[in-house]
Amino acid sequence: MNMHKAHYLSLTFLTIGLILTAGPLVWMVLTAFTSPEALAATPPRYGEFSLENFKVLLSAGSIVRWTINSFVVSAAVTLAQTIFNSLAAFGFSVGRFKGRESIFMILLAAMMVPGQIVMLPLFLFMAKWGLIDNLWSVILPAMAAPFGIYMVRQYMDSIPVQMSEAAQIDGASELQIFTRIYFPLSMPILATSGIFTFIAQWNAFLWPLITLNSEKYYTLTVGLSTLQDQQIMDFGLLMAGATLAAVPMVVVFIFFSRYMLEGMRKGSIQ
Amino acid sequence: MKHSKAITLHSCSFTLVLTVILLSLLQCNAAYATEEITLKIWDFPRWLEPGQSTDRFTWMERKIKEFEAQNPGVRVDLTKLTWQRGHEKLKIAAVSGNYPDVAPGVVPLLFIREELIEPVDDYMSAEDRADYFPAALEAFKVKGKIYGWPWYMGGQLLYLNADIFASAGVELPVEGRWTPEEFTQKMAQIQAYMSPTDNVAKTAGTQGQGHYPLGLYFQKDETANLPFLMCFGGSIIDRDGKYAGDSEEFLKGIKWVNQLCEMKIIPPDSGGRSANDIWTAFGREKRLAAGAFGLWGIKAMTDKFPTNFEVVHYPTQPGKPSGSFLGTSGFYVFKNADQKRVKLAMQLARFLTLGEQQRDLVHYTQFPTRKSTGNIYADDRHMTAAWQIFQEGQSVFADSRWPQIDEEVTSSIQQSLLGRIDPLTAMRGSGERVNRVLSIESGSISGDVSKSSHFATVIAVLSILAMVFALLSRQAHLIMIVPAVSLTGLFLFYPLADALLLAFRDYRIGEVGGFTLENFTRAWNDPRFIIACKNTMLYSLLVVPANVFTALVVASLIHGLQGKTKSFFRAAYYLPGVASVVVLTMVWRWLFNTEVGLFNSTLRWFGMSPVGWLSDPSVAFISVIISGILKSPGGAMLIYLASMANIPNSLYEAADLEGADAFKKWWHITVPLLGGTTTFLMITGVIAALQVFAQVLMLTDGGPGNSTQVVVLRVYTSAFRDFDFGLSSAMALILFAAIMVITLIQRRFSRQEVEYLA
Repeated sequence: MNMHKAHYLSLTFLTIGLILTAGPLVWMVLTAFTSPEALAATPPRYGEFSLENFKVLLSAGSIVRWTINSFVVSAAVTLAQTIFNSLAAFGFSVGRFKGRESIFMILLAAMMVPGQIVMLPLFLFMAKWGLIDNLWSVILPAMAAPFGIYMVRQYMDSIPVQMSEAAQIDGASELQIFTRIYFPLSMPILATSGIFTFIAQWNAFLWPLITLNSEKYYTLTVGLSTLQDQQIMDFGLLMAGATLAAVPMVVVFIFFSRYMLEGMRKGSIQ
Repeated sequence: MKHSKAITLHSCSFTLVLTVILLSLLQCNAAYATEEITLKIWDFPRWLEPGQSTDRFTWMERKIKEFEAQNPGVRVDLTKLTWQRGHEKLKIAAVSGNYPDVAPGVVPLLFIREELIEPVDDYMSAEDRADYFPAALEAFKVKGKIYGWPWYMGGQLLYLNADIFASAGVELPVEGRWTPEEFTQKMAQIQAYMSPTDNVAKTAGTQGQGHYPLGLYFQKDETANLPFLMCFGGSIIDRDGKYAGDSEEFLKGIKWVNQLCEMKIIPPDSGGRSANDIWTAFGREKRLAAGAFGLWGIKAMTDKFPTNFEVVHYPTQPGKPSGSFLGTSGFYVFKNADQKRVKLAMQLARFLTLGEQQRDLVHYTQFPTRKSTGNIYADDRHMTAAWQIFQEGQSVFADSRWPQIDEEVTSSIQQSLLGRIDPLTAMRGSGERVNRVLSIESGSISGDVSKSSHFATVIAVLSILAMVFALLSRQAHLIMIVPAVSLTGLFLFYPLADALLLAFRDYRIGEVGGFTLENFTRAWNDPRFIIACKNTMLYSLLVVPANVFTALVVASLIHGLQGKTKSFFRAAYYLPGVASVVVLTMVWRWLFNTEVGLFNSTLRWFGMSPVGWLSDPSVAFISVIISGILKSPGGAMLIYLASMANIPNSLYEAADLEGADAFKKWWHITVPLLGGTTTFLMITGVIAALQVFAQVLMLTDGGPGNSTQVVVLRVYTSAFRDFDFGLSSAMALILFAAIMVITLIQRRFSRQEVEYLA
């Protein structure tokens, strides 16, 4: 098999595979932009372009609110994680206090706990303190991310220790060493993990589903699932909602794909 | 310079984000600033008022405004529920103490038992009391006290398509009554008219999708078809409150329905059908001659899908009532320390259910509960007929444990109808579980919720002390780790400790500190959990290798590309993974839809018979697996690509010299060297697959008949629907143990791998 043929063969396979995996999404967009009447016909006729589904969806009003909620939650969590995780990673990386490794090991152990096991007690605990049914209930638990501390610490460990020693000689405090040297130097890993965190929070489903009761606090994913419950037969509307939910993440991907793909590449070489 | 650009971008977004957060927090706090009372009411979607196309809350919003106008200083906050999750939400809210002031629904037996509901007797005047139909008030009476303001009454009816009857030359039942034998006979006649050979010719325009005389469905919370099973005198719970599902009479009913299935009067997968499926077939596509639905069907058949129809009695023995299941719905008020609040809430509930307000029920096709409303359906012969039929109606077993009983029994009924288990065995099996449910006179659930385990509190105190110690030590680095570590401790370790304890305590019986292993034994004896374990393992075994293999193949192909094409495909394959599970599952659910989904439409186009992707229990889990396999390889692909880049070219060049072709090179060099990566991906993949939840919840919710149950779904439903905290934690612990075992295996493998490469 010569190179040319092999090349075209792989392109063909790749394209077929792409159709299979990305197909459902393409169909989603297609349905979202098809007029409701065409969809209701038997058999449904696709391709009759119409913005009707989106008009109805947006006129309901809540979806804008939900998007804002999702954004606030994702941004808050990403921000908090960036600050707290980098701070802690610095502490673990540069610090020399007693019990450092033991505490770190315990943190790592937390990484292996599947979310569902803490779901219930966490819910009961937060309910008791009135933290249920508002955005805090979603933001607070998500701020705890041992995996982030681990990743950033790995990165900081590779920063030569002479840098902090030099700064110490110049009289800088530990905090200044952090803010002036380590934090800026860790930008790449922080950016990468920040983006992944943002996306993960945007797509979070189970926990917001449990803790959010009032419609005005729903995040986008939860709101969409209730849309499905109500409008069981109106697929155009549902797909329009799904499309709207996917769009921000696609935008993030387009703008930050470089960081994400690079970050995955770097992160996997351990 | 890229560096400073990144920093500027960072600080800009930082400020932006901070502002947004502050703004939204301020909004939250604004409500607290005012002096007025804000009542909270939750409601379900109701009817569409003229001029509305999607908003089913306009009537309620209007009434709220009227109420606010009449009561200055009072604001009413409406939370919009959905029919699917609304009751669940209400239960969770009530049990965790976050309930509204006024809530909708039928008599809230669970909340009344928990002493959360304020009786209305003191707030209902004698006039009001006389105005209500006695049956309506009875529906809300528990131990002599009335616990709600009745609003509307409705029930389930049997609908017949008069056109089909006429074309088949079959007469409608006289006065809408018939015995089971007469019913069978008439259905058989219609079946002969619809028989398959005729079907093809008659339905040449449509896609040969089944035409049947009758459509049935048996789901949780659906009582529409129960009278069919009960028409020989049987019932699920008898008058004495004892389980009777395995009685001769009830089994006779099941056998009769099975017979109808053999006679091709009902579709073969009836046990797995949903109300929506049958409604589409009956109301929209008119492929069924008969179907049972709620009162809302009358309006739908008159306005939305105009049909010549009749409402009739369920088949029944001569002289016995036909037994349509009725329901009375209204508003009830939660107790509150603030008596002023309760009084206002009562006024709101009363206002919404006044006689003249109930005239609007004509849009909802439900019957009013007050005499003063008058006969709003005087000129509607169907509603009048329905009213007559309802005189012989019955109610579900009035017990707060009914939902659990319902779930147990429905599953068994579904299984027997699908012919998978013999009816007697199925019903005896559910009988055991039902009896256990009935035997538990458990203590207060909310009492359990507020008790915290002592051990967990000890841990919390110790960690706070540790934090303080760290802060006081003045070691900068120690202080720096405090925020992240305390967050992890608070939101991960503390609940973990609590979970460990919950699993070992007998939470259902409501005793403090009753340590027991019973939760674990109950978990192993729970057939749903066993099915869940089997399904979850099957899912992992099938989906993970498929996904890893796909990632490997795709990465290998992409690796061989260059430049722009490479970037394009790399991005294109990663992109779908960015969409959330919810979005993807919504699409799959629609693709798999039995009636209008793409897969079945394609099958029909090719002249093949459609598949009940999500409604047929033997197929349903396969559909779930398919949706898992066809996932975008995304992250795994990238990891493979990264590892491939590390393979030295010299190996390939050496192979070229020996005349190896592309495939040989791939198979003998690339694949083995990627062994470590493959192991890593397989194991992390299995860990993730064992926790599959969201897509199953949204695709099938464990159904039909528990065929798609998975472990995490079981953990979730036992916790948040059954409030069986002990069982839920036990199951979660079992899962955790399995994952730990797998993780330990992974660590051993990766250590070996490192040695190999070195």
